[in-house]
Amino acid sequence: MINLHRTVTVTSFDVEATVAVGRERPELLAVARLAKDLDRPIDGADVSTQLLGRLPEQVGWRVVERCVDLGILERSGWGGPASLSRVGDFALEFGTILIPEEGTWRFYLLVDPLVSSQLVHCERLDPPRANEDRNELRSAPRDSRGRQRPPKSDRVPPPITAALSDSTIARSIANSTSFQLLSLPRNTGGASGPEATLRLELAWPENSAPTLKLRGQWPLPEPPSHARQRKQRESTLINTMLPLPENVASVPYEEVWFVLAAFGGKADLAITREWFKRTGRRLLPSAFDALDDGARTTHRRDLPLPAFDLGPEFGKFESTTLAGVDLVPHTKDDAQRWAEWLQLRLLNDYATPTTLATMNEEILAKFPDYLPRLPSAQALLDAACERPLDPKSRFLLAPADLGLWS
Amino acid sequence: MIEPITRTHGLVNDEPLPPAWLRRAQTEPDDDSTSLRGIHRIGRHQRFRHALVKTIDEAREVVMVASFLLADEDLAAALLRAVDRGVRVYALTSTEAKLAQLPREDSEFDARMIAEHKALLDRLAGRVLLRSAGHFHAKFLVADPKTHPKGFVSTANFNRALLDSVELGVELNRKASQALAAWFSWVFWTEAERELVEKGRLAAVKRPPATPRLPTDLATIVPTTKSHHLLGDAALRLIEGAERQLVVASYSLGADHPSVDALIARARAGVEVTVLTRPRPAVLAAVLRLAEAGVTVLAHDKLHAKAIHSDAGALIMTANLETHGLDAGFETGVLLSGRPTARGTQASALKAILDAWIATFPWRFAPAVRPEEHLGEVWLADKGARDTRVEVVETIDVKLRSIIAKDALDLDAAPSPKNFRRPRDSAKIPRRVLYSWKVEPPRLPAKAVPEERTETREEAGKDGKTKQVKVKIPYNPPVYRVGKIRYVLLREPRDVEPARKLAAKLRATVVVK
Repeated sequence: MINLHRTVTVTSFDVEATVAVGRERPELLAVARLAKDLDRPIDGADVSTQLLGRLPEQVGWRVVERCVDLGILERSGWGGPASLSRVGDFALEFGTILIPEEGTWRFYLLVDPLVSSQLVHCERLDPPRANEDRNELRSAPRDSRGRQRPPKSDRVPPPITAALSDSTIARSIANSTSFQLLSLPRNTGGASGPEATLRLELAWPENSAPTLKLRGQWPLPEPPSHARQRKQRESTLINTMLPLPENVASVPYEEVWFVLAAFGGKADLAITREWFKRTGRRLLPSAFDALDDGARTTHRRDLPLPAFDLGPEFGKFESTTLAGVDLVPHTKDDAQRWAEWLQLRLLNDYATPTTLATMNEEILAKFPDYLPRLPSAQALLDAACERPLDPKSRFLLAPADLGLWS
Repeated sequence: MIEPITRTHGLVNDEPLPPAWLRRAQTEPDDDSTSLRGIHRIGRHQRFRHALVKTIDEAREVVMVASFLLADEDLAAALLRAVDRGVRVYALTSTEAKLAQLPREDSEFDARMIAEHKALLDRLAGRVLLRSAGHFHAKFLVADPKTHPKGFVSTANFNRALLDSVELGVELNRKASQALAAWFSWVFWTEAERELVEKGRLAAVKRPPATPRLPTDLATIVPTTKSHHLLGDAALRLIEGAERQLVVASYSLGADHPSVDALIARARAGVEVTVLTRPRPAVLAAVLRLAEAGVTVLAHDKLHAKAIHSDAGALIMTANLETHGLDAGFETGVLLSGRPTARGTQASALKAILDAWIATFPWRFAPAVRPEEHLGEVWLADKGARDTRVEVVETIDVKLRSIIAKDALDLDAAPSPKNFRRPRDSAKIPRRVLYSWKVEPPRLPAKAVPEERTETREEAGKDGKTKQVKVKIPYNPPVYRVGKIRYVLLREPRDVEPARKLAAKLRATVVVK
């Protein structure tokens, strides 16, 4: 499993707009379903007969007109049967009907190469009461002639205008509600809102598709003063899976692993790929001296990765760890020293030539691509005789002195 | 005037003593001035200790040392010198848990010895490969078994016992040393429970990587292990094979052990059996049985040696004649060669030592000796070494309270005391008790009042006529009375006869002032 993550900033922008927000309207979904099932334009008789229990056809037409107004159905001309629109099709897919609402909205934006839809959430702001409005006007800054200065205005950020022009139907990462920006005022801007930082996590399991998750919390819009006395939540918890861009999701796991392992292990990427081709295993060539005792013993390590940039499609990631990286000696000399080290390491109990031979076989099996040579039992015993007080020496000397070697 | 007289009464004490060790000689350290046929004793020359140290100092490759307790300073220093030379030193000892259970009735296992043992283990930690088990009791030393084999079996622990105990050590030949090394290896790998891995830390022993080979030469070294009872078999064989004479030395004796049964059987069969042991309450039950069967049981305060010599052979061993030793535990025995040489055999050398001990050991066991049969120190067999000893003495004089005679002129008629009680001095047992007491004359009671006799006299009256007159005249010697009892007071020696007559006349008692 590859786990990558970074911190992302979610910005917000407050602006008056008309936004269609997904609402649960089963009666209208039934009309959309009827149009989908009949797969043709439907009229008032269809609705009356199929959905309204044979009420007068006029009633059916009224329903059709309402659905056309909401964009669920569409027709080319004026009047007559209407067919299922893209919005209607979307409504059927998500089970909600987009209902236009006018007001001041706060749009949340996340610009990141891994996030397809930059408009990630919208939330309608409570309108102030008339007296609050009046007080605000009175306290507004004025020019030298005493005229009220126009309020400072920011340009609408491009992701918002793009969403309008593309008629994008987005889904909120905060509550999964569908929404569509329908209109923005032509000449007025808006105001930048608060920002929040979230954690974007890209998890790449070895045998399944990668997943992208956004976690953290952002502050809720500040309520108008008349509503401030009520105790309210101050933030929204975010823990949402996001779709990955296709160009990212299609990159093989191994390729990402090679890049990360070579980067973290300061190894040659081509050699790392070569080991995979030769053995069918993902192995990181490692120098003996660079490894700690645990890695030398298990031939595996958790590889720390400092912050790194995986290119424009992936972006930059913060420092992390590539867990369970299998290791292989970088050179023949590394393999020889590693095998000898293991022999000494594994000599942690009394041994005979037979048990030493078995141990040597097990050690050599860990280095199939090199042919390290291990000291024989007698050579080990001779060395132990030279250092009888070495803590390991007794494991050889005692069995040899006390009748287990002959 | 009338002097008290002294009277005596003697009683002969023929009450048998409880089972006891009778002092027959002074307790002396053993004599190690010579070693015969490689058989050592312990004494002021420390020959055996020096031989052990020398063997360690001359070792080139390996030293194997086994001892129930290990605390001899010179031996420890030699072992550490060997380690410094690159010699591998292996040791087997008992466990701390076992040491904690040892009896405290004598100095053999006192707390200081155990503390010294633990302190030495701390010094050896990390330098000597030491293993322990609760049943390890053997004491021996082997050096360089593969190249220059040399070995000793010792009945003494390698501690202060090498200085002042009555022990035996036997030097082994090449083959026996190698056989003993093989037994060491067997026990090290298969029976040890703990291994000293660092100072103060003993870890549990794991399975060995292979099974050690058993020695094939069983002619000399006969051990007891968890799976071998060669020592017990050999001991029984020697006891049961005795036809004329059998001498056994053992620090401890199991009253119901088959080896003790065999000793009794041989004694009843007419074999002259002598058992040498240490006077301890723990051996009382066994020595009672042995003595009843006619075995001569002698003892020494410091005996710890274990050996058997009979017509069938000779054996020096680390085991006592009891279950833990001959049937269980790790013990070793050396069957001594009976092969004669110009200087005799090892067996005859052991016999000479045992005979010397028989001649000089200070205690003889007696199950019920009468005081008339022994004079001197006695160690009651149910008492320990630290308890007060008892002495059988010729006479104890007991002074009784004086007796007041009934009449000052007849002291001899005074009765003797009714009960002669045994004196309370528990440290001395008399052959004869001599009681003495004084007989004193009775004294005039303080409340006594003088008595006079009445005499009728004729006196001339006023009218000139003679008349009869009664007058009071004091007695001579004087007479007193208390109530109706009369006393004649004897004041001078010349009054003896008048007083006797007057008392007889008046039915009075003659008293003195």
